[in-house]
Amino acid sequence: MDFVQNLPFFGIVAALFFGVLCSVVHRRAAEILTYLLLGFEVVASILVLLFVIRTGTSFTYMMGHFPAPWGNEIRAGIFECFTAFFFSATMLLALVGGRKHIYHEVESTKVNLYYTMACLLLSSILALIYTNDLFTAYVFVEINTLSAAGLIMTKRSGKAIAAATKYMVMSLLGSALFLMGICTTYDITGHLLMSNIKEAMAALHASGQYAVPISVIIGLMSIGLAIKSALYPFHTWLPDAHGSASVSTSAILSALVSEVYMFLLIKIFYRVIGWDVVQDNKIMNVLYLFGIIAMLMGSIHALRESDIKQMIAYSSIAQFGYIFMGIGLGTAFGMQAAAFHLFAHASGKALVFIAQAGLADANGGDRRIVALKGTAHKNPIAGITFTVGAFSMVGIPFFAGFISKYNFATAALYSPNKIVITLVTLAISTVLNAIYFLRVVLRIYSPIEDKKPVIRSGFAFGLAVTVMAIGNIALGVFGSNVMEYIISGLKMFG
Amino acid sequence: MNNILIMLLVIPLVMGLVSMLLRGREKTKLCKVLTLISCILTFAFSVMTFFAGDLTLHIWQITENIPFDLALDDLSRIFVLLFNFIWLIVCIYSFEYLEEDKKQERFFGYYLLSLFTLNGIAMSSNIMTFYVFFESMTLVAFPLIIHNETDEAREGAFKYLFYSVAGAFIALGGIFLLVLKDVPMEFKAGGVGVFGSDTMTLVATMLILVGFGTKAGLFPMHAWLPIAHPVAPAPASAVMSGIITKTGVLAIIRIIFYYIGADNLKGTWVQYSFMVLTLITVFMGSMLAYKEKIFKKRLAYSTVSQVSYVLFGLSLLNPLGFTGAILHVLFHSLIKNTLFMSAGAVIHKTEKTEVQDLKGMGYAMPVTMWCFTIAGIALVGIPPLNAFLSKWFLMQGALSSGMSDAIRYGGPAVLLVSALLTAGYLVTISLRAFFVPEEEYRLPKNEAGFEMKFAQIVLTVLIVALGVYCTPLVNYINNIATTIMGGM
Amino acid sequence: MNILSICFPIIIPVVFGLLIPVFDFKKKLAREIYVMSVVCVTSVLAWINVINMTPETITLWSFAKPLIVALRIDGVSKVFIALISSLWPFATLYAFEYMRHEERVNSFFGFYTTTFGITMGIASSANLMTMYMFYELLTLVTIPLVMHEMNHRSIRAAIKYFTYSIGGAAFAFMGFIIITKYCGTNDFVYGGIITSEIMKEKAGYVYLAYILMFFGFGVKAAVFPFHGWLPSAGVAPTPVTALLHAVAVVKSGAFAIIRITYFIFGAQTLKGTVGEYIPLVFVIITIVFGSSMAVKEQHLKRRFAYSTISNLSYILFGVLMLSPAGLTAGLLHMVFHGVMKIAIFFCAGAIMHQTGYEYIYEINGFGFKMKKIFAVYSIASLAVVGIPPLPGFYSKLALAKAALENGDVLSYIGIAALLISALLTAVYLMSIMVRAYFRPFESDKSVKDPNAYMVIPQFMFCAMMIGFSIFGSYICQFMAEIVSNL
Repeated sequence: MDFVQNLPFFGIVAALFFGVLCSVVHRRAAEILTYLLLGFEVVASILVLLFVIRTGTSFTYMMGHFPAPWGNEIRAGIFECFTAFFFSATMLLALVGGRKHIYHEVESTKVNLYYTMACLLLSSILALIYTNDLFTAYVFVEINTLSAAGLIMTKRSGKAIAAATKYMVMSLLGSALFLMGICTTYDITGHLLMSNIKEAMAALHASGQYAVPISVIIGLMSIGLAIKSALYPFHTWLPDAHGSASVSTSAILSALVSEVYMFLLIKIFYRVIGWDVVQDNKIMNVLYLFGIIAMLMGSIHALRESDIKQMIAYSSIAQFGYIFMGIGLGTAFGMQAAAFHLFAHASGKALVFIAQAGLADANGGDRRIVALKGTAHKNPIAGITFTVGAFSMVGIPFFAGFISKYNFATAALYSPNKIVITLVTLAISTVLNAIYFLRVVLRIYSPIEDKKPVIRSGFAFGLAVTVMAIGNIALGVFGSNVMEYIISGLKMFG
Repeated sequence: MNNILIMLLVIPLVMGLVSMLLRGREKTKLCKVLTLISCILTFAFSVMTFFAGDLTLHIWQITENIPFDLALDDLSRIFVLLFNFIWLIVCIYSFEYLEEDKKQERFFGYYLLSLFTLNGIAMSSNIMTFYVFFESMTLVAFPLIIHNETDEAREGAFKYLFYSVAGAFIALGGIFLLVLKDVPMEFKAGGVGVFGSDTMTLVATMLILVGFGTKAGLFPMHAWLPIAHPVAPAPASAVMSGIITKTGVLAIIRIIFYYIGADNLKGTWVQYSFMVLTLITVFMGSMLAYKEKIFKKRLAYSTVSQVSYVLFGLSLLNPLGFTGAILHVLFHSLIKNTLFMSAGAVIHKTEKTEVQDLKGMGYAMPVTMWCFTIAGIALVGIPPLNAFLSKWFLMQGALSSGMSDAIRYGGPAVLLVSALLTAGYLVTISLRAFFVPEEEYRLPKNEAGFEMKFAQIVLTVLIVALGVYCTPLVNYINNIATTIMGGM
Repeated sequence: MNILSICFPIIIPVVFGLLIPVFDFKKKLAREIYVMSVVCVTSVLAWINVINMTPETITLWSFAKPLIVALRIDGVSKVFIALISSLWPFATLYAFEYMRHEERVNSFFGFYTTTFGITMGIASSANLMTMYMFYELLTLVTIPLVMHEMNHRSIRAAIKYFTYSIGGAAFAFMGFIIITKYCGTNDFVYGGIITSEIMKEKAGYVYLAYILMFFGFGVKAAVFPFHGWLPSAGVAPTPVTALLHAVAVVKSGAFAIIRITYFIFGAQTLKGTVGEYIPLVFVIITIVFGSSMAVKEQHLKRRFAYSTISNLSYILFGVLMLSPAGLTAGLLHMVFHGVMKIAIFFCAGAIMHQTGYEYIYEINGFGFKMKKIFAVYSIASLAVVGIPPLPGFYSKLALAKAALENGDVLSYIGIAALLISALLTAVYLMSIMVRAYFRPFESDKSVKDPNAYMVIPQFMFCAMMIGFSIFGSYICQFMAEIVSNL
């Protein structure tokens, strides 16, 4: 056994440990610890990724060497490692980019607690990515919920607390449904390890037993996770949460927290229930339908929004709709497209959230779109990177969003009944995206007399947004290579 | 001898452009002189065409199968002569009429340019060249109509432009249907011989007839004519009514007899519908003229009616009808120019525009009113004045056409009714002008100047003279008719 | 001939254009020399390509298997490149004068020059992917030009413009996906890449893809009912309206439709199918609709914009005849209309620049005050109407001829539409002449011809038009040869 194979587990444990550590140290130290942790996670996941690519197979890591079916396992394949790498890198950049805001908006004595929450969130994200055990997944889902709620609340305004409460309620509802799904699964299969459940499920499916409970399981799990990842119409918590959260929180919430649930859903479909079973189930059509509705409604809401952060939040809802639509297509191609969009959206959305903050700062923190006039002249780097993010969201060639759009559209052609609806919705959604994003781009580039920045956004901000913008363009330019990894990663899911 | 063709085009073109550039009081005189000289020269050349024999001239290849060619044949000669002669006379007339006008150079410039396009129309040897000149004529005649720049003039001019361009494009549509099948475009006496009586050809022909008929005031595209002609200055009204309407006629002649071939149309629905349209126009024009109170408008309606006599003659598709038509083209030009010039003289001197104001005018302007009276009587068709002859041929043509009785007798009946109406709307004016019951209505003498009188008298003399003796002319036209209709 | 030279006319203006705002020229002269030299160098290189280039493909980048960025110059490209690169230097010269009193000139010329390169890119694309990419970029780089004045109106217009354009591109993209998926490639091949097997199995989707792409790219070519952005975009400075919204941008739309029709789907695939008829109906509607709206419109530039809408559909009508003759006619009208319409727009621009008047009823009697401008206007508008022997007539003749060869009912209706539209064109263009020449001058401003910067381009366009009319037969033959050599 290679040493590298320990790294995913170490990563999760380290994240939990650093979280505890952060709660007792000074805020500077907490910040540095968090950066160190994230840096470590990035490096570790790259190493694991290279290992997995080299060996060409995934590996399972038994915790405490208890063999199945009793033990607790971690599993790492290309898709997992890449996701882990991408998410931790995005989180690092989001925290770096929003650093100033964290100091600004969080009470100075509680900054270290913010980083504690961040570390815990990271641990849950990594655990959800790597876990091979359904119950472990549930545990970390809850940790995820709590730490995310903590991040939302840090701003200590009444609104923030209300938003966090709303988030908690909705999210716990989702967890509860998910838990019920797990219970039912355990009930009919007697297992909690994913690989074992899958075998049992396949056998049940083949024998035709428990057809209804299986449907119920798929339904419960999908809807539970859908609520947690803010699929329309379960999205109501999201705009409030974004409205009051710090920018890093918003970026993390939109780019990582919601997406990790979708990752989990994909994983469950492949690893727990089995692709064949899922494909035969009508629940896919429901997901598809809600995805389509979300694509449109999210954009329409975004169009009516006058606050830029809320607008981006609603745009996220639309983008989640893309992913659910991709999953709901019920084909491997749809799944691949959805998987790619996880990254495309994460890179683009984190970028626009952070860049948006830079623009708003240049204007004294006023987030109304009308007030952003000419801010790109005051803060050029934020302007350029916001434009990159916006182009990606619209799907201009050479940006990540274009590859996504292409993937979704191509995938649609493999589902004969859904071609026309998908294509038309995609097109309309592109138009709507273009309208509300480019409207902002036009506004921020409007000429103004006074071009001096109000406050400097700092080196960290510049670095973070630049790296994210480059990352987005890289995804766009090398999209085909990333797609290959995703395809082989999904194959490894079995 | 090709120089004749070139000179007929180049002189008015160059002189027209030059005279437009002459501005200012003293230069206006020069402009007039230039105009007169070029009119005389072109008239001379047009006479020379009769001694020149048939000529062709290739100018330029528009696209690979569209040449830009000129040619002189028997028909061209008649029209060239007519155009240039009337132009000369009206030119003289207009010197006096436009004395006070501030934009004479523009008027004369476009006047000469119009002559250029008219000569081009008369001498075009293929359908595309013809269309080019026809379209250009629409444009260069436009400034003549709008010359007064009053609101009415603008309205009339726009109406003219709209109808003309619409007509031209309808015709162009028809031409497209015909020529784009890679058929020869040259006019040839008796038709180019590639067309049959298939639906496509007939539809195309009908489009062309209606389209070019616009210029000739043919129902249903006649509405511009009574609006546009009267708003122009009198010399322009005269040539519009007398000459420019005839280009529509020429177009129809060229299409029917020189392109499609009369045989292909004989007895088809196209012939009948065309004939019905002409008869409707003949009657409607006279009727409206009879009801009209404004002097020049009445004359314009009369033009609508009279030009359709010509078209009726053409629609018969037989030599007699054709002869009558061509004769009527010539005679009507002379008559209508006289009438308009008289009306213009009255307006110029007394500014009276309504028919009822003319009471006693015979005493104020005896020469003008006499010319008017003679021309009016001629138009009614009283022998020995000229139009009697053309109408006679038209009737003969109708009666000998071998068509159904409804046409054979109905057509002439309409013409006769129209002639009665003509008498009603023209002769009554003369009566009112000369026969006033009371002394006080006899207006004091206020006769037009020399140029105006001269122009009117020349034409009136011709009206009488041609009425008395025109056998060579009839023979000449008969000759053409025989060529194009194979001695029917 | 190095094949890499295809890239130069694309890269040079893009790079050097984007550098203009960076350099931020303070001196007018320096900027003008810089811009002019970039534009001229590009034009010369483009012309060298037009003369020398053989149709070879150069692949620049591959996103994934069918998503390849590749360039190629064939006959159709050459026509478009020649048109664009002939007009651009003169339009730039005109723009110098027009933009003299405007602000933010540096960024204006930056994007103006960049657009040149992007348009070149559209012309030289070797496959649908590349063309789509440049097409999107074209939208993006022209937005700043449309909203240059940065007032409420121009920003609204810009938003309308990109909404329509990106919307169109989004739908075109869906068609593009269908084609790429079923054909496995999206290279431009004359005669199309749709095989008979695909037609046998997926005919419905092929037609769907064509209709999506036709209307998607048709947005830029202002096909009814997606024409609304064009009149609004008239708020842009006149060099933009003239060059982009009468030539470069809208012709890119028409060019894209030529590409997809003849090089992706192929005339044979579409002939006599729903894929031909539906677009054709809309094109015919647009022809008449555009002209009618132009007659109604009282704003100078908007009237010309509607005229452009109508005339673009002439091109598309030719294209949809789905025959070499139709393509030839479409290309002819593309070239002729480009020159004629830019001249007309520049006249409107000259009037606005000299007097600030924008409406037709304000220009009474200007004909004798701005003699040169109105002389050019008269020639250009007669040409657009199609008065023989001016160039507009040839293209209309060619269009009608192609339609007759096609010979079905819609073609005949199309000919009628062309003629009706020609009549309306006469009305809306000549009524302006009449106002200018036959009404008394009544403005209290002093009105005179603009200086040489504005007049020289006008005279050049005029010379081109007259050249076209004299050498009409050669040009028609030349186009026909290009099409037959494809």
